[in-house]
Parts: sequence; C-alpha cells; structure tokens
Amino acid sequence: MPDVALDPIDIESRRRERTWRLAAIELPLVRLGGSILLSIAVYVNNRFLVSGATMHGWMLVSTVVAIYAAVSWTLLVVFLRRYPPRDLTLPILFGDVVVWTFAIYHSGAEASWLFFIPLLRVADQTQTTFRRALAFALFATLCFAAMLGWVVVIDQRPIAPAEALAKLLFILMAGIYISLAARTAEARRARLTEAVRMSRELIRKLEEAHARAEEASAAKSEFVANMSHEMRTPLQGVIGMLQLVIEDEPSEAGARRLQMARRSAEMLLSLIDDVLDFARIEARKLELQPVSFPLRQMVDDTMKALGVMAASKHLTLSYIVRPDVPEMVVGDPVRLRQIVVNLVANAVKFTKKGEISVQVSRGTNEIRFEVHDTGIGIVPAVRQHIFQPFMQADTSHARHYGGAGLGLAIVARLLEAMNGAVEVKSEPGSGSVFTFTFPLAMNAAGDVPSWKSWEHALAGRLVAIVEPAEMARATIAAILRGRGMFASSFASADEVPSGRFACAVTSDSSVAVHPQVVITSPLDQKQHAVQVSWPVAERELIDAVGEALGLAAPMAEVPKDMTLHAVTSLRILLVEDNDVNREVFTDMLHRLGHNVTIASDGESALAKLTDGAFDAVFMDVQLPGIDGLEVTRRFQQSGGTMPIIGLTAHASRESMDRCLVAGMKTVLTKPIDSAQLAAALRLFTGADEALLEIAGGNPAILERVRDAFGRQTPGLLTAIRDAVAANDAVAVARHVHTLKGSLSHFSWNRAARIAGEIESAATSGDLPRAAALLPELENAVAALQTALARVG
Amino acid sequence: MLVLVLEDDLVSSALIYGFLHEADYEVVSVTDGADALLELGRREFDLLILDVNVPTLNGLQVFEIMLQKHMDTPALFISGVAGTDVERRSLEMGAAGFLRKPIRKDVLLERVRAILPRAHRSDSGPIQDRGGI
Repeated sequence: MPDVALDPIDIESRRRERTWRLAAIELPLVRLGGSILLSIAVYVNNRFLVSGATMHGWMLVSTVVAIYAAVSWTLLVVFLRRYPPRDLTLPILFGDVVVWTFAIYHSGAEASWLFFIPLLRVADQTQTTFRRALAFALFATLCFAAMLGWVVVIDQRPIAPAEALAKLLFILMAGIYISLAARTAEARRARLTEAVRMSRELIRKLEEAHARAEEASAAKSEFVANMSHEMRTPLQGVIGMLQLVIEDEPSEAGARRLQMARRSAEMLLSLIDDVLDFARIEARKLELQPVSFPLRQMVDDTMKALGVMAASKHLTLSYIVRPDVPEMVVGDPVRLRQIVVNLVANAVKFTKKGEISVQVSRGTNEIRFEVHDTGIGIVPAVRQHIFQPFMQADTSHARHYGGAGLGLAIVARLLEAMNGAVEVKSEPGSGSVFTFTFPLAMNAAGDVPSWKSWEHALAGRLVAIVEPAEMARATIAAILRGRGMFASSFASADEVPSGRFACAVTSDSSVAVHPQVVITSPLDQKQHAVQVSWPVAERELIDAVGEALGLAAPMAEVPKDMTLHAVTSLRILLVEDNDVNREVFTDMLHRLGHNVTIASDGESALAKLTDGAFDAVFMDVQLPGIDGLEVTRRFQQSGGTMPIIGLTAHASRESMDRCLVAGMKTVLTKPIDSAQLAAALRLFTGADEALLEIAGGNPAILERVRDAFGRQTPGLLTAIRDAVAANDAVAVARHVHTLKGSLSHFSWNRAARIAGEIESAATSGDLPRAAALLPELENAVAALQTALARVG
Repeated sequence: MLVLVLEDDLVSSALIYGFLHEADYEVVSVTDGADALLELGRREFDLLILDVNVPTLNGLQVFEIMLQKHMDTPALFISGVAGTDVERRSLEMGAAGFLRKPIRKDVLLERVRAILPRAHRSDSGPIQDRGGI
C-alpha cells in the first residue's frame, strides 16, 4: 500500500522538509552551476563576439555573480532557519534576473548576445503558475528596458533605437509565449491536486463507514442476544410448567402428549440457543475454555443422550472409541460436545431408516471423529454450501425436516476456532460421512483405561453377535475383539449355528445361544437378564458380557434422585418477577425439601432480607425497579452475608461477570432444573459434606488441612497484596499460583477460579486487573475459611 | 515404606501426608528443594513425590541431581496444569508418573501402590524377589 499521509501535522512537516531541501541544497547547486555557465557565456561573448565588451567586464560579472550566489544562499538558509521560517526563494528568483541584467550590461549592453538569458527564468517558471511566469516575462522586459535607459541616460551612449526596441519586443513576446505553456502545467496540477483531495475524502468516508458498520454489527449482536433472552424467559416458564404438569398427570396418554409438548418447547429453546450461539460466533465473542478432560467419558455421556433421539426414529446408534485414543485430552469439552451433538442430531434428522455410527480414532497429531449415516446423502453441488449459515441441502428439505440450518455452520465455526477441520463425503441415496478433526494436545501416557482383572479371562472365547444394522454390528465386534474374543457376526438369529458359542451379544433375544447380552432400544421397556441399550458404551458392553459369562458381579444401581434430596431443610428466599418461573422454582425447591419465601421485586426482596433470616437467596437478575444486582449490592453493603445465587437468562460471560462482581456467589442460566438448584445449594450452604470429602472422609486429615490452610493463607494473601503494591507482576503470579494450588483441592471453585484469573492477569502483566480482582479473592477465601471452621 | 514429599503448598502437603499416613506409609514432608536434597542424603527413601513449583531447587532439578548420583528412587511429579511441558520433560527424564492438583485420595493411592505394591507388609523383611516374577 502506498504511504498516504493524512495527518495534517505530518503533511506540514513533510512540506517543510521539501522546501528546505529545495531552497538550501538543490537550488544553490543549480545556481552555482548556472553562475559558472553564465561566467563562461559572458567570457565567450566578451572575448569573441562583442567588440565593445571587455575582459574587465567579464571579471566584474564573475565576481558579482559569485558573491551573489553566496549571499543569496546564506539569506535563504538564515530565513528558513528562523522561526517562523520565511521562504526567500521568490525574491531571490527576481534577484537572479537583476544580476543577469547586470551581466548583459557588462557583456555589451544593447549589443550583448546574452540578452535572451532572462527568458530562461520565464521558461523554468512555467512549471509553477501562468501568473508567475508572466510576471517574470514582464520583469525581464522591464529590466532590459531599464538597462537601455541606464545606457542612454547615465552612460550618455547612443544606441540604435530600432535594434534595441526589437530586442525588447522579442523578450516581451517570447516571455509571454513561454509563460502560456505554464497554463497547461497548471491545469494538470490542478487535476492532480483534485484527485489527491478526492482520494483523501474517499478514505475519510470509508473510515467513517467502517466505524458505522462496526457499531451496527455490535448493535445487531446485542439485539440478537437480547431477543433470545426475551424468548428464553417465557419458554423456560412453559417448559417448567409442563414438567410439573407431567409429573402430576395421571393418564399415560395425557402424559405422553405433554411430553411431546415439552420436547417441542425444548427444541424451540435449543433453536434459540443456536441463533444466539451463532450470533456470538459471528461477533467473534466465542470463548473457548480449554481444559484437560476425559474424552471417553464425554463421548459416552453425549452418545447416551443422543440415543433416545435416534431410537425414537427407530435408528440404531452405535459408537466406538478406538483403544489408542488417549484418556485425557485438552480442549473445550462443552464445545466439543456441541459439535458431536450437532453432527449426530443432523444425521438423525436426515436418516429415515438404517443406522448412525460414530468412530473416534487418533491421527498423528489429532483426534478424528467420523459420523456415518445411511441417510439421504448430499449431492456434490450442495456439499460445498452446507457449512454456510441458513443453508440446507435443499429448500424442500428445509420444509420437510425443519430447523434453521445453523447446526453445521456452528460446527464449522467452532472447529475453525479450535484449529480443527470438518469435511463431508457423501453418496446421494446411500448416506454421508461427516469427519472432523481437532488438534491433539495430549496428556501423559499411562492414562489409558485399565482393564479389570477378570477381563483377561475374556480372551479366546467365542461370541456370536446378532444385529441387522451393519455398522453397529461391526462396532460391537471391534470392541469385543479388542478384548481378545473371537466374534462372529450375523445379521439375523436364524443364521447362527448352535453349540459353538460361549455367549451371544444380540438385539434379538430369540437366538439359540445362551447366556446372552440383549441389546435393546433405549425406549424399550422389556427386561432381560443381562441387557444393554443402544448406543452401547465399551465399558458397559464388557461389564455385561462379563456378567453374562459369570465373570463379574452385576452392577449396582444407584437411584439418581437420592442425591438430590437435601438432608436438612433450608430457608430460602426466592426473588423472581415472572409468575410462571416463580411457581416453577418454588415447586422445585419444595420438592427438594426446602422452605421458600417469595419476593417478586427488588424493594420487597430488600425488606424481606432485612426482616428474616435465610440460608440462601435465589435472585433473578432482571427485576422491575431495583434489579437483582442492585439488591445484592445494597444487601451486602448493609452487612448481609448469606449466599445470593443469581438466576439469569443471559448466558454470556459478561453478564455473569457483572453478577459475580455485584457479590453473587454464582449464577445459574435458565432453563434451570432441580439438580442445578440442589447443586448450588449444596455448594454454598451445606458445603460441609463436600469439604469433608476432600479429606477422604477422614476428620483427622481435614484437621491437618484446616490447620495448614489457616497457617499458610493469610501469609500468601499478604504477600500477594504486597507484590501488587510493589508492582511486581512476577511475584504476584508466583504467590497466586501457590494459593490457587491449595484452593484447587476444595470444591469451592469460586476462590480457585478467581485466583486463576489473577494469575493469568499477572502473567500477562495486567496488574490493574489483578489488583481489581484481589478483594473478590479475599472475600472468597474468607468464605471458604468460615465454611472450613464450621466443618467437623 | 518411606516416602519423601516435596511440596511448598501446605494444604496439598497436608492432604498427601494424611492420605499416605492413613494407608500406613511413613512420610517425610519438606517445602523446598534444598531440604529435599538434605533429606535424601540422610536416609533412603522408597518413593519421592515432587512438586515442580517450589523454592530454591524445583522438583525437576532435584530429580536431575539424583539421576546424576545414580540414585534410582522412583519419583511421582505433582503438576498443576495438565499436558504441559513439565509433564513431558519429567516423563522423558524417567519419572514414574504424575499427579495433578486437586489431590484425590483414590488417585494418589492408586499411583503410589502401582509403584510400591507391598506397603502393608513392610514389616515382613526386605523384599528380594524382584527377579522372581
């Protein structure tokens, strides 16, 4: 790009520099050359051409010209150096003409051959303006006339009038003619100036337009975020109410219809989330949070969740994680799950019958996911568009299958952010394979899941696999062969020869091999002695085979609801302005066994907080009048300490930060289920069990930990404060790192999280941010210390 | 069975001490690398648990010095962050494995038992049957 200087100061300084160079260096050099030439010309003229001119005249001219050159240069430089600088170029140009006239006078005056020399000045000024060139033409004529006058009047020497007049006219006419040439140059320069001015104007306008566009884009994503919030809140109400009605509905048919209504509402909610997500990705607000996480478990959980979806369309969903895939990988598990869910849900949507199979394997430096389906496929022409937003393979498909067409676009954008890639291979009519990879930042070896001791006994046994779906059959066979079993696969029960197999893994219980592991649809209610359901997890399958063969004990079932129900009943204040949500949360909290007091706006919440004693507060962030943040602030200023847990429909990081800064313990994003409410309560009220847990349930160890924490923490906090005061980022980072290490043991992740933020702020040299977060850290640590003191 | 724990965070150290003590291991805790070297010169340990971020000499340096002196006591490293350079380097140097914070009892004991299988029978005399398996 050419260097376009638009800064006026910059332009001015360049102009000055140019003038300086021209006046102080270039012009004097030209003038020096010109003076020498003039001296030679006068010499030639006086010696050979004009009889009246003398060598004395030549010497006089040379001396005067040399002195003039020196004086004019000195004047130029002196005046340019003055402040403000004055440019004497123009007067000196006129001075030149006078000196030249002097030279003409001493080279024979009216008879001199050098009478044309002033015309050179007219010629070189045609590069400037017509008026200036014309002025020099007239001045040159005037000087010549004056010289003639001098000869006649002062020197008392007769001259030939016709000859003198002709020369005078010649100078005048030639001067006028030459200066006319300046008009062309002038017009050209005017055009150039105009072009430069226009391009500057254009650049300015572009910059303005760019700024406006950025503003508009920010406003747009803000709008989308707000809209989706506005839509989420009532929808959350609908879903919650439906859940309550379903639980109370006596008739099964009625419950099923309500379930469908709830599922539709949930779909709508996920669609809104998609739009919000996409808007955020487009606005470059996507934040990946890479952590080390167990990949296998993430895949297990995700696939189980998708199993019901596939089963309700009578599709078989199977998956396998190859043994060389490391147990722990580094990445953003939430986003990765989102990618898997999007691709599998997409496959389910576009597959009418058959199966979907997912394979997770390890490449050289990446983890590779393949999602195979037996769906409608994608024709080559549309394959390249499907990762663009709002594109479905076919508009008629959009009508038939529904959806906003954002799923794949989100997948592509997320993978782009993870330095991964996604591609699709497809054969219309016979299915598609979506493959995505993301870079592997692997953990230590030795993390590979270990076999249980009895698993070695599986090796060498014969097993029959009966399953009509081809990929699912291959998946099961691969898992069993991984344990050294000899697996024979059959599409149907009739094909299985009797008497050879130690057991069967089958989706058809009529097969004549026993014992058997029956694979059922997750929607199937039938009970078999040993059963697993699609999609079958490796661990689950191996345990089931072990159980069928009598190698392993049956798995113990833990009822899930047991963990939710609180041991002690808490007094809770619920602040929520939306009637429906209020009822939903109240009901959930009642079912968890707590006492609930209700406030529907900020004022009454404050009144109730000052009146009554509560164990915890659930506070909607958006309230009419005084909002939840303000209530929290005022309550804490008045010395209140009970934990306040925010409820918000805004899932963005910024709004969460605002809540935490206001003093909320944590923020739950709607829709909220009772498990989340229970977890939040457990974390911030009944933290006792959780704290005892870190010591492995041993009070003596907890005592040691409490003692160590009490001895170490105040010193560390002081050291951090001092380091912040001393502006020593390295020391801040080091002490906070130590503190973070000790905080990480407690399930009190707020303090550890803040410590982590301070550490990264200090590491990146952002001490003001570290200092700003310090009070928050001190609060969190104090809260932890209080809780620790309570335990045991 | 004697375990040396080099860890400057007292909370982590207390947890490791507690869990190992509970499982009948004898534990010596130090908070800085120089002290660890002193202890290593004083008596023989069966296992080292070394944090990397400690004052004076860090865990890796302690381990390096031991290797130079041909002491082959197995070492577990404690690393705060997963998948880091520290983990790779310690593995390259021959670490027996590592632990991450937060310290969990089951994980800690599993790792330690994998290296010191006979903790509970430490009073049954010196074990000489390494080659006999």
